[in-house]
Amino acid sequence: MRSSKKTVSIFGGLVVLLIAALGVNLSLGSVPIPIEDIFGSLFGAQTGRESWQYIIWNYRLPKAITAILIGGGLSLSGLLMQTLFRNPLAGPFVLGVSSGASLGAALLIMGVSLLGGVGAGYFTSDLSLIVASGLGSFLVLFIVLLVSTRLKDPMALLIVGLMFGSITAALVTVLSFFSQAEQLQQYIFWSYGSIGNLSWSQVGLLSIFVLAGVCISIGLLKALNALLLGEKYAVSMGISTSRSRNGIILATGLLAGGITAFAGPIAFIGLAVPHLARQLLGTQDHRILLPGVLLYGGILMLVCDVIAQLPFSAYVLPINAITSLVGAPVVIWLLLRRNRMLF
Amino acid sequence: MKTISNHSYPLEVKALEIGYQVKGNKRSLTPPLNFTLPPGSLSALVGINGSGKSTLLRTLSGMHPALSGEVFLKGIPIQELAPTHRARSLSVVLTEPLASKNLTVYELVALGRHPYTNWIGQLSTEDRTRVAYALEQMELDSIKQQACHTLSDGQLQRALIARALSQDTALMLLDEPTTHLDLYHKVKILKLLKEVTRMAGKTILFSTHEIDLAIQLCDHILILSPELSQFGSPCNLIESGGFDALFPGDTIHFDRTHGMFKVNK
Repeated sequence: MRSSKKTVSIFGGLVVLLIAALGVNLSLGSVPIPIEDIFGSLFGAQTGRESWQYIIWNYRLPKAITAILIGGGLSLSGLLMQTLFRNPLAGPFVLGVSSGASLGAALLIMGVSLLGGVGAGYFTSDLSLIVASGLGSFLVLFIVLLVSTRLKDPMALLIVGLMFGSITAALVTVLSFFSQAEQLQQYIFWSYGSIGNLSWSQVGLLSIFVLAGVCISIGLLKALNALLLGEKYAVSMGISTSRSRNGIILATGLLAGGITAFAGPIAFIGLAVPHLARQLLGTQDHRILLPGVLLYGGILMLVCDVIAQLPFSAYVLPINAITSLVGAPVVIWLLLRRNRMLF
Repeated sequence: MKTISNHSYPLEVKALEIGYQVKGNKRSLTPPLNFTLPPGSLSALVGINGSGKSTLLRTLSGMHPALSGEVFLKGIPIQELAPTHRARSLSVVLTEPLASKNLTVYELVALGRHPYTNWIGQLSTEDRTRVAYALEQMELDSIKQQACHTLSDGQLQRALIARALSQDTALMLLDEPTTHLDLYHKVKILKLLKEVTRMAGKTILFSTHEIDLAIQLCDHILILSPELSQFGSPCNLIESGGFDALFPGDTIHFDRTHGMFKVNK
């Protein structure tokens, strides 16, 4: 652990970066708005045009807050998974939690129409999508956990996660084979990931999921630190492994499941940020890493969103592709620097 | 019937059968064990590979169910102790690798204070004193900021023992703490353990293959074997011939006069 003074200054730097990233994120978009108008609007002043006010408050600000919630939440769930599975390459995406969510979403968007026929589109409301993908991710997490109790080699778990990914992808393919073009398109757009379409009430709902996940994680901090020694040592120090396991799964389900439900699958953030935060903060202590990954994840997601918007153009790229483009090189870099993959 | 047990002993074992349940059948590794470890004593657990040393240590620490019999920590049956209470009575050093080798020595040793810290694991002044004491006892002060993956085997073993020491329990159980070490570091570890029993008044039971060293350094030795398990002081065990039948006689034999094993010539 580095000195606490250094840790405090790193956190100060992270907060400054987050505010800067937020400012850049808000000031870029298809409609150019002067930066002074943006900050003026945030603090209640009149903007040059009324439409600017509308764009900032009803489009850009909820999107930026969503980005922070998603980036922080996914990073935290990645941290939880890596500690639970003692595997540096674990994460919500790698272990198939997001695949579970996508299966849930696919079943709802495409499966219901197969069964229900006409009028099924009414079922695919926002709330039902959230419930379906949330259930999907919880189900997959549960199965992965069952399998993990029978596996000694943590690396084997990655393969299990990959297999779940293949199974869900296959099921989605079968579903899509039988569905209408319209539903197919709806599902594909869902799988691109999107953080821009959330209303304030949905942002509120998402923040409840993330906040609940963060609160549970805070309650688990001590157990998480004990798990750094391994499960047996944790037991010898009075930690109930079944309770902490269930807590970690619940928190991950709320975070990863909730986020995937609202924003679609967002790759690699959850895997990469915990490593970046460990490297930056130079510690394994979850009490420092937890706020660290929340901030770092928020910053990275804001930056990814800026890139996805293709500044000064009217196009918005799928956010899921951008996070992969940023995240995958990070994972390769981690593998090349073997020493840093220890955790 | 409730067995009566003495409250002053850190560990008391009565008619303990260790082993595994295989398809409903008990597969016992040794005849029932009876022994008592007095406070401040250093004891070794010896036996050939597969004799049940690790199983016994896991049973004593409550991580593995006993087939029958009882284990008392300061007079209380181990299964009746709440997890935190047990963690304050008994600490372990295991052979399994640490899940995270990027922990610093200080972080590792400080984690031993878990049973005493608050819900978030904050170290009090008392906790810091205990950690500092453990680091000093295990001669780790100069390397306390190093990550565990940079340590030598001997240093890592000392760090693991320091973690158990900072847990501040009356009883410490160690599974093969001297494996993979050269002779110098084996002796160093064992002498440090002896010092912990004398200075801090801890009771230590460790499994080992270093029978010669155990005979020289330990207060008691427990010999595990499928036929007859014996517990006693090294001298008594030598006289009673306890070591003679420990290994098959085709390659080595026990020399009673020198108290060590010799290769058959």
